Amino acid sequence: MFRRLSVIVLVGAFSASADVRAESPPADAGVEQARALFRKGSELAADARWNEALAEFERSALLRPHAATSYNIGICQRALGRYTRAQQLFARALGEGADGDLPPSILADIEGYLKETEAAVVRLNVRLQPADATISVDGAPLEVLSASPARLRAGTTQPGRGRRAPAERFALTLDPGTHVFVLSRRGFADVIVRHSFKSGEQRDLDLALEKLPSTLHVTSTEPRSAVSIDGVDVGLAPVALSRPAGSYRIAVRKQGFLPYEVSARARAGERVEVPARLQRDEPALTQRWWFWTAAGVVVAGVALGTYAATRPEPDRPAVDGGGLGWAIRAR
Amino acid sequence: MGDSRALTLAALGLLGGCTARGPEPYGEVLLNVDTDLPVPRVVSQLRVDLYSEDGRWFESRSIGLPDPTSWPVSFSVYSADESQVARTWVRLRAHSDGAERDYRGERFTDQGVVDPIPEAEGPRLVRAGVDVTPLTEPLPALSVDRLFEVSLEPGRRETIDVLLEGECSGSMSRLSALRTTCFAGNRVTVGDLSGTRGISRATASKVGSWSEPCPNAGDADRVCIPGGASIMGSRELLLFPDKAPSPERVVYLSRFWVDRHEVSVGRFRAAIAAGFAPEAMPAENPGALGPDYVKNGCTWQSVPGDREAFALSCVSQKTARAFCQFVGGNLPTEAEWEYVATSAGRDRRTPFPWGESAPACEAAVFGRLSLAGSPGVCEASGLGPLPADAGEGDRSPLGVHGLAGGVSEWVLDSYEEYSASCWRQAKVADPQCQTATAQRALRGGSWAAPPTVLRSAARMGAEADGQAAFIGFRCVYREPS
Repeated sequence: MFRRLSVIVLVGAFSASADVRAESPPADAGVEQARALFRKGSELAADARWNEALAEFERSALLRPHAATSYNIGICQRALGRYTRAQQLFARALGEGADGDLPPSILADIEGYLKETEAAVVRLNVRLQPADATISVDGAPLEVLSASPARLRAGTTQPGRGRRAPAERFALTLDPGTHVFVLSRRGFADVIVRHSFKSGEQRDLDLALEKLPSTLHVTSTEPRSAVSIDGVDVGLAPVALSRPAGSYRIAVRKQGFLPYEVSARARAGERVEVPARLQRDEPALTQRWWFWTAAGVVVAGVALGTYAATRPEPDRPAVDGGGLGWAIRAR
Repeated sequence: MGDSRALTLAALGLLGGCTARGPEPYGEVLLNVDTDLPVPRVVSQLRVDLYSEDGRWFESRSIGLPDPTSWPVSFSVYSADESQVARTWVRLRAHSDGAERDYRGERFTDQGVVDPIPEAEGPRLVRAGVDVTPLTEPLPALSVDRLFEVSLEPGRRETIDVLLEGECSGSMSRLSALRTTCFAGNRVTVGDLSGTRGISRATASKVGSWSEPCPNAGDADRVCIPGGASIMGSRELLLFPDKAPSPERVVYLSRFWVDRHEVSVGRFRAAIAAGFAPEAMPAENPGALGPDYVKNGCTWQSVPGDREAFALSCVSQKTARAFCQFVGGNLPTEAEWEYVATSAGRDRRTPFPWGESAPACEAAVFGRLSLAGSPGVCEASGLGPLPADAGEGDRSPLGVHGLAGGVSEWVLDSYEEYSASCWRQAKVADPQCQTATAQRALRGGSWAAPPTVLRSAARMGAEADGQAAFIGFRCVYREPS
């Protein structure tokens, strides 16, 4: 009832003020339309049809901003439970009404409403990590009330991308209810998280982004080469692996080829390409067949005699190990 | 040159003739490991654990195999004991990257029922007196877990081909007293796998063979969705903690056809003209759409108007299902809907039907209504619903349109937690959940939805007889049109 009365009183205030001004330069069509919308809004507000009333008042304000209109928009927002927006509108009404457009009773009402909404809003001590992440609440950036100390408010800006907060820690006021927080920063995985708050609740809220892993993409000129990272087999090339940012020792091996080893530094969220060029393990001069042919012919007789005398035990067949090269001994 | 080579061969032959027979080879089993699941969509890691005959854990290895051409992989187990046959338990688990949980001892899980964790939290892997137990283990629900015994007989080398079957996904092997494992979709007692004499590495791979191809891509009205396996749900989506899309599970969907677009007002009218008589008609909105789109957003008009191309809305789940049955199909299951939106036609799952990128107002129909006092994110481009073919970017790789936006779509399943018994007991192939609850699941975002709801794994629910301006449907079929 109190809210409804407040709006009705202001209809008179707005009309009177508009009428007075209309006497000197004649009221243009915009002002007339604004006045009609204001009256329509007031009628709807009288029936507690706050959403519809709000639309009329907002259209009126677009045509002719006025302290009374801002006040009535604030009343509607408050009735709809959007306390932070109501606070914004009440503050605007006070600014617009500084030259006496608002009667003292309404100014007193505004003070009362501001106190009431101050008690109803949720107060959070937010810690944002990393501090330069962007943050949005319910799909809209936060309004910065002051940079130092950092005080921000949710629910009062137009929808849009998140923005950076002025500090790692800041005070945030927002309406009670459920809100969706979206945090984003290059190199980190987006965080979308929902929190619910009770009216007047005060608490700490830690919002942290997790570093995106880096991707190591290891390819090889030879198919099915075994890839290991920091000494641990990770797969056969080509292989793409997610790893925390950092430095890694990457080795690519294949039988018959020289091992390829390299160090790679991977940054968060980045993809590091490691193209391994494996080169055949060319036998040395002493491993060429013709070298030993010649040498063999020369020493064959001696060798045969020596061999017969000191014949070693033949080797056991090697275990296979498969394509992974894992020959695991049972225990 | 030829003479030299002949000389060499003669010398080697002489040496060979003098060589005594060497020691017998160690008893060795070469394991060729393959899977019929798609790589990397469902499987990209292989975990190998070995246990001695008395149950002692003596080896654990893990390897990333995200490239389908890496499969099959092979490795061997051998015994240096030349005096007797050694027996070893081999446990193979194939799973996707990141599908792991903390290891806190064996926690045998059968259809979601977890064995109590033993006090000792064993077994533990100890080498040279040092506990080197891996910190994590594959998530049972997202793994193919195969346990078997091999015999290592001195002097004998053999090959065992092991197929990690998608049909066994989510079925955990049991290490305790009565060892059981999954084989061909059934729980069986673990036994000794006899191999083929001699070492022989497999080359042909069965990766992705658990599938059912399409005879053609479909037509203008229906899109063919090839049968295949994927992962359903998302452990990353935190938006709806009341019915979060987790735990995830491996699913297989048989081939089906799906409507390219959501069912339109005109199509529904044509069915009525052809004899379709639903018990309950959609809620009618004889006037224009809006300006209050919650009240006046229904698209159905009893007299043909200018909304024939719009998706039908304000229709109950029962009427939607009756329509689909009338035209020879049914509502999709949640699993079918999600498979189309996240996986069909892709090597990897994607968060949105079109891929990875975030929803854009010009590409999909969403965010066209103020919600909870905040203007819709796409209000600048207008309010309320649009024709069913609007939002050209909201298209899956196979050409299914409007999955993310347009209208949220009724599906066949009851709206239950994924941890509910009907989901736990559902089979891997073509799973669905039907309970007595009055709520039915809804999938996909709508013209009114904020962008976060457009993620393909997101779930919603509503009363089955509910009619809302943001709810419509599409049908699936077992046959082409």
